[in-house]
Amino acid sequence: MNYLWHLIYIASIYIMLTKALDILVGHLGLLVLCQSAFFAVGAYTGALLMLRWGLTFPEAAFAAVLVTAITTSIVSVVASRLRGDAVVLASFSFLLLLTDLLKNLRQLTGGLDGLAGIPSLGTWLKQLDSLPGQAFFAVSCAALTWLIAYRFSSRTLGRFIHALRDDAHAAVGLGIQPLSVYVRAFGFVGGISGLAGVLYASYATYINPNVFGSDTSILLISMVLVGGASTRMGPVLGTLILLAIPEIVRALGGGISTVGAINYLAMGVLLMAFAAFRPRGVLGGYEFR
Amino acid sequence: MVAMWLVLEIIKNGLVQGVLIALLAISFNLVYRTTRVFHVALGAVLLAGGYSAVYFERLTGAGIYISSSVGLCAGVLATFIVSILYRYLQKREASNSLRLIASLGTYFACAGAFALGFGAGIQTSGIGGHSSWALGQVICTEPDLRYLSTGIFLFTGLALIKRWTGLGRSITALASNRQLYLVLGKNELRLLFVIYGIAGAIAGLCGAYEGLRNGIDPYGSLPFAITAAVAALLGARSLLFGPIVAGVGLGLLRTLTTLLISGAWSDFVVYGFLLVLLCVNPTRLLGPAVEEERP
Repeated sequence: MNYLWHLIYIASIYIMLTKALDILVGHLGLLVLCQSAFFAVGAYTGALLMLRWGLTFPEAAFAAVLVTAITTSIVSVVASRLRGDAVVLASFSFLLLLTDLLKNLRQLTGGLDGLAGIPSLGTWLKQLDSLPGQAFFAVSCAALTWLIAYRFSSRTLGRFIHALRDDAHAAVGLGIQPLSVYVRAFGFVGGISGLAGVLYASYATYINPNVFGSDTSILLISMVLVGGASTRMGPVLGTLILLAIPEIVRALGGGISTVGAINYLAMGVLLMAFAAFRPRGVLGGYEFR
Repeated sequence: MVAMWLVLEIIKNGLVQGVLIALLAISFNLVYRTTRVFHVALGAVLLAGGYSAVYFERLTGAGIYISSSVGLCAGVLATFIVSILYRYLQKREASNSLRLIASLGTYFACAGAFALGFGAGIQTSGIGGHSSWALGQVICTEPDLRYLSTGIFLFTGLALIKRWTGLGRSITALASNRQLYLVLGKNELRLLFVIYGIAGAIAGLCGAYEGLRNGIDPYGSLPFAITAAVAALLGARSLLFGPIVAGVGLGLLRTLTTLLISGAWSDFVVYGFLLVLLCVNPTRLLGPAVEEERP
């Protein structure tokens, strides 16, 4: 039963990340491959503040959201100047740059050994000491994220984002400022990713740079695309599909290396199938042009 | 004051690394400039070349050159298989982004398949005890010389083909303006078949060399493909010369970083350099052939 609660917690974090990523991928039409870098900024900020400065979870979470939002806003300035393949390359470079920083700044981040002994949610609130309590808390955060993302994309800013995605020239002609829209969209994504990061750090109580590598970024973008970008439930469905695959393999008796290999294989096959046969994803979302 | 032999050693190591990056960048660029597919599946081709060379050498005990030839053939075959997917997507008029996603999916599917088939660990060949020569205080090993001589041979050969043959001119024409190429009644499919063959052969050979020298693991080829893409885009202004200069430049930059700071920071410097260039002037960096219209 505990494992089920663990899965629910992890799935909630992934849903937060994919719903946030969908703002950039589905709504803004950018193939951003550095979502795990934003996730890492949140996780490390929260973990360091709790470990080194003794901040409580809410204080650390607030700071993590803020720092990640500022980081993503800076990234958005570069992203607003780029299009197509350049966005992919720049975002992937940013991810590799950040993971290299996390590996090399040993004094601060612990390097490849990572940070251990991060205070869990239970140290902040007694009710969150148990696994079901933590899982409910994560599900609440995911539900809140879903609601905020829905409101975000259906309001004026959402319409500006869609206008920039569909016809940037016309949008600029109508007075929409691309940079302002990008900064706000990326800032929002950063905020959610930062919260997901600090939630993950508090749950796992140990983080290292490998958790936030390129595999995680590709997995997250696969979840969004397979489920259906720019749809309400697409990222959620994609998350559940791609998280279910390794669990099924594990249930069938696969070892760690087999699970990892099948995860890669499934992710690859699903991405190829998505591009070739179902470019709008399972729920029929935005198709890349 | 840095000793002269150390400078020469750095230049030699940088050149060896740079030749590998430049060859992969040419392979990437040939596919990218003619089909507009951001060819991340180059990582899968490297894996095919590396694994087939290593296993052929292990099973038969054949020498480096025969095993490398097997890797080269596997690279060609793998690229042809990948090209079927690219062709299908082109027929469906899929966007560049969709083709990139398909290419990424191909890489991940291949990496997973190789990990399932051969295990997640590093697979090494039985070739060991490379000869080495001392040129003053600079040590040059047999693999170093193999990389350098292969690089010089291929760079010269490809430059001659590009400059003096109809094939080279056709590739340049297709890379410059596909519509015009088709309007003139040229057979694009036949040319792409040759291009995929050349690109696959180069990548397969690089995979074989790397596999036979350092071993190969299923999850390790993506950084090679991305570095090749970086070099190809840095040198995007030309089909052949640009990637060579950018590749060798990146190789030298990496070894220089290793000397001055630490090897752990070499990727940081390379990707940081790219990000700075993208920030300063993204359109010039990507060149006219790959730039998309911006508001």
